[in-house]
Amino acid sequence: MEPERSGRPALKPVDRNIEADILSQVKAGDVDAFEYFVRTYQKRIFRFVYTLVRDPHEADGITQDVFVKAFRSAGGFKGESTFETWLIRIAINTVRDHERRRRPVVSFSEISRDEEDSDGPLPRSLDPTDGTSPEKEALSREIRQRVNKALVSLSPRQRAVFVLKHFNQKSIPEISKAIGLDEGTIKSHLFRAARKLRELLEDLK
Amino acid sequence: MKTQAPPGSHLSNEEIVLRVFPVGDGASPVPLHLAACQSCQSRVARLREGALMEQGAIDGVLGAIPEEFWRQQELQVMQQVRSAAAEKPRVLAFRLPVSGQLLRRPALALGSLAAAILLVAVLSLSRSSPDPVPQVKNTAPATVTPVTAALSEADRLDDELLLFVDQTLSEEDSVAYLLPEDV
Repeated sequence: MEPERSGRPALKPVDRNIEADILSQVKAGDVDAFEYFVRTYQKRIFRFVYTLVRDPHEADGITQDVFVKAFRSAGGFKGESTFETWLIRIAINTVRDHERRRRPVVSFSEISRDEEDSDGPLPRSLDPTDGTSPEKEALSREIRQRVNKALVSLSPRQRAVFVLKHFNQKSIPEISKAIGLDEGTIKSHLFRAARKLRELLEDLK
Repeated sequence: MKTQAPPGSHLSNEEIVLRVFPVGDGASPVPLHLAACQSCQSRVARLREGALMEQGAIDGVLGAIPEEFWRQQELQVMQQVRSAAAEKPRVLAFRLPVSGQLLRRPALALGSLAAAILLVAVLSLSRSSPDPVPQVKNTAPATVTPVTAALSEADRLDDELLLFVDQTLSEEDSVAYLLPEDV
């Protein structure tokens, strides 16, 4: 089975029985069988990590760490969640460890700063009827920037929850398993993230 | 002809944000006002567009990554995995006794610990309880006496020395010559 190699990460459902078989081969000592998991999930995990850290080199290193950690603890995977959810959980912990080691976080802000520097004064309206097309584009860029800024200002856990829900299209139960928190707490994190976003959009009437 | 105003008031920023980034999983019903108000629809659309641009920027970065990068990443991961496999048995042998029992079945592990403590307590009580008085009477003098005797001989010599020092110090004149004259 050759997983997708180009473009957007493959989102087709993975056969859990096949994965269970391959995983038992890995547990039995067939190290090469683990390559299947790397090929299948490397882009998805990279994308998720990149969304959190916004630095491709850092995302690469973290992604590699995630797979090595997954291999080391493959014996502990009981199949209660999908392998992908389990990998995401490892990824969240790995990103958190990296962020702890290199505070203050700069990767997100570097992107935001570049964009802020390049943009001039922007119209303060969300209503496209009161502006010309270039203004509308600029406004969209401004909104995108603020979405980005809102993400940066979230705690690592809130950011992970928000990205999983709105950028990776994961359901609340899936996020709950990945993060290891109950569904109510996940919703609470999402609500707080939305509130932060609302605050940043306050002057865009 | 006059156009009819949409029912209700405009959506607040919070409502706009929650339309684009809903907290729940399923689709929420569209408020009557939003269905009729072009201005609110535009605001929702604009925020959605901003969010999609943000996602698009991420996907754009990923799309621009050459295939060689993914192959290299895979190779590097597998190289590390093989190294990890070589050292794995040693790590497992060290970890399993603690994490396996205590973390997976804490009730069983703690129950075993409690049972062991109880057993030790019962054994200790059963050893000390049956009539220990004659044993103490028989053994105590035999073991204590020689030690006491040996100690008393040494102590006696020490006591003599200490008494001498004490006596000498109490007689101020006898040590006065040891002090410098100007003191």
